[in-house]
Amino acid sequence: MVKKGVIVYSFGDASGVLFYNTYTDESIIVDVSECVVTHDTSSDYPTIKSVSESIKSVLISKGFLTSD
Amino acid sequence: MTSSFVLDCAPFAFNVETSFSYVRDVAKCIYGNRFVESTEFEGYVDYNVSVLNTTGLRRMFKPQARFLSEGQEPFKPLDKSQGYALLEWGLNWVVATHEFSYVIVHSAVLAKGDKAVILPAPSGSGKSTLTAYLSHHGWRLLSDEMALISPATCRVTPFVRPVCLKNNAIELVKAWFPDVYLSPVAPKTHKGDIVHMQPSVYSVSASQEPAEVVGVVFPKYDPSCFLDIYQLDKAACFKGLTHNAFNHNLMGEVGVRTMLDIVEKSACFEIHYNDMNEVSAFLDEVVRGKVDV
Repeated sequence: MVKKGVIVYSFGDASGVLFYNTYTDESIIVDVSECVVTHDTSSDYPTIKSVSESIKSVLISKGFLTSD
Repeated sequence: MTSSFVLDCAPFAFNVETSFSYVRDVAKCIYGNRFVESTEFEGYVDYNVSVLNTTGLRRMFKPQARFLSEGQEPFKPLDKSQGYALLEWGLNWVVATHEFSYVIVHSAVLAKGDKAVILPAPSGSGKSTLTAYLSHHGWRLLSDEMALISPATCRVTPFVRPVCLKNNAIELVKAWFPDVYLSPVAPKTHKGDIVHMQPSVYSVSASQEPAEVVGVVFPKYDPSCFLDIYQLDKAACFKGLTHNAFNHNLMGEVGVRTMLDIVEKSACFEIHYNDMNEVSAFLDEVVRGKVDV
């Protein structure tokens, strides 16, 4: 689950997926092979479809995702 | 004794109080009809700043210039001969630290028509020399120092002010443009010798016309190559852009999304160059949409 205040964005040329915490100004760009994001047309916000366990733990430890 | 004048350089007007007559004289030459006596200015002043002499005995033996804005003094006093440079740096500081109606990127901005390229780069990359050259070779200068991007758009508002030139670039520019006004040299600043170059008449006359960003190009002067072009992926361009941004983080989600919009809609490159005409030809292709996004 993405934490409040975190922007998740998949770059259009598949060069990475950005996690940007607007509260702390911390950001990380992960490889698209490690994290797949879908853009649902009914929502402004993307959904994380899948994320590798190793990247997931990094994202949780850095405060971009919750552990549930 | 001090005097005051307004620098009416859209989108901001600065009221400047100074105790140095040469600061006033240089500002008048650089800003031309955008220099207005404070008593005659009828518009709204956005920021009040001062460039004042130090007080006490130092005033007699080693006069220094202090920059102040609304009770703040962001820089240490500098030698009197650096007073005009201090004013220009102070105006940059005022806007970069107080302005939240724009997402601001440390960058030169040049345009043809209503299509702009932003050139983010740190000091020493040759950005200002390149900007000085191009702004007198068919390009419209929107800024040498900062891109003012309207949030949630890719539109840059011109903020046409002098181009700051350093060290070897000073003689180069004097040779290129002998008729263009340059401020007196501010010697031995922390950046070396400094002059400020008057912007072109064309750029000033179009200073009310915003432009749409269609290219983000990171320039780096390299004497060993005419022009090497490296296409950047969007993630790398975003990193570079945010590295040079002043306030996107303070603007929250809208600031970050504005940067993402710029990156997605622009052609993104890094260039290494020593030939200004080659750069001009390349940027021309960028604004005409002749390169891949």
